[in-house]
Amino acid sequence: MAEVVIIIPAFNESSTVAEVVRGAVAAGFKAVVVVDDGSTDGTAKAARQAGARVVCHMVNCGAGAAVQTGLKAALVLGAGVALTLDADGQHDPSEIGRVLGPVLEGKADLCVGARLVDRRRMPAIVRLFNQAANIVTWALCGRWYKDSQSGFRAWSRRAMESITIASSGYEFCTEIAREAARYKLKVTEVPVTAIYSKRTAMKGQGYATGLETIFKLMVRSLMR
Amino acid sequence: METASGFSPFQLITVLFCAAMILRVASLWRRGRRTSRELIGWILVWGGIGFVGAWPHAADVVGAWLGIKSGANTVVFLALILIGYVAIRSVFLLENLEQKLSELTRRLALKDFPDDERPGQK
Repeated sequence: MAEVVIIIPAFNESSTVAEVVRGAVAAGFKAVVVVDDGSTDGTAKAARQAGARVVCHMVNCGAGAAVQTGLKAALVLGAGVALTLDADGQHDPSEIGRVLGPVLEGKADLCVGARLVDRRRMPAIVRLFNQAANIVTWALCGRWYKDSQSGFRAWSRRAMESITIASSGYEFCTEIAREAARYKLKVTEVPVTAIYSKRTAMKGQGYATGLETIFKLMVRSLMR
Repeated sequence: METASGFSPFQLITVLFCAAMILRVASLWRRGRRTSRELIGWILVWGGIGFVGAWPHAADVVGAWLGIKSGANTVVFLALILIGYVAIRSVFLLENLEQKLSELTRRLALKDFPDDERPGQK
């Protein structure tokens, strides 16, 4: 089986990151890399104590930049497959195998864990923003994603080597979809559970963030 | 009030300022810091502003051609377009800078990985 590296991008997640790392290790994955994106709350220390390798950004660069660093780190470690999941605990580590499955079986280059199981528990505002993001993603890359903004993704080595995430902010999820379409990668989605707390529900959401994300995507389109 | 050249002080300042800006761009182009396309673009922009500054009625002619009633409105309209262009260009530059900063941060973070996972904390 290809070497699997778990990547956890984190910014000020000291209260949850250790549990996420331990969950991934308990699921049978020993190579866990936490990308500490310039945290100031001891995220790196908490992750290291939980058993993860830690790569530290000196300054906060954004979620997209942290994922890209994680993918580079996975390639350095010789990963055949990588999996990204959020540090805030919204993904269930016991479902890692489900997301990895299609990539390990060679059926997909990129597998997205779509937060579709018990979708009614998803806060209405998150559902609304997700749908808006799905429409924008479809408009820009021509493929409909059920959950384009999920951070739970499995990557084949081909996907890791092909996709370059230039965006730093939340627009990076749409950029991944666009890059996947550009390189004609095989993409699939599998349903996963999302665990929402008050904190995770509002992360990255908001009218201003949404508008900024759309604006940045338009700018990036013009810059290509 | 008119100067010896027949221009008002305001017109003279505008023309001199535009000439200075054209000379500056030309100097940057000569040192290879601006492309020929940028040079032509800026000569057209500053030349146009200087021309309208020197002969304000030229704006009426341009306005009539564009279908705008007055020369003043034409100047405001073109200024807004120019400001919009400069704003978008600034966003592009900032985005580029942000990308370079991220790349630099990434390289520093991965410099000694996986031997030393804590750069600067040996």
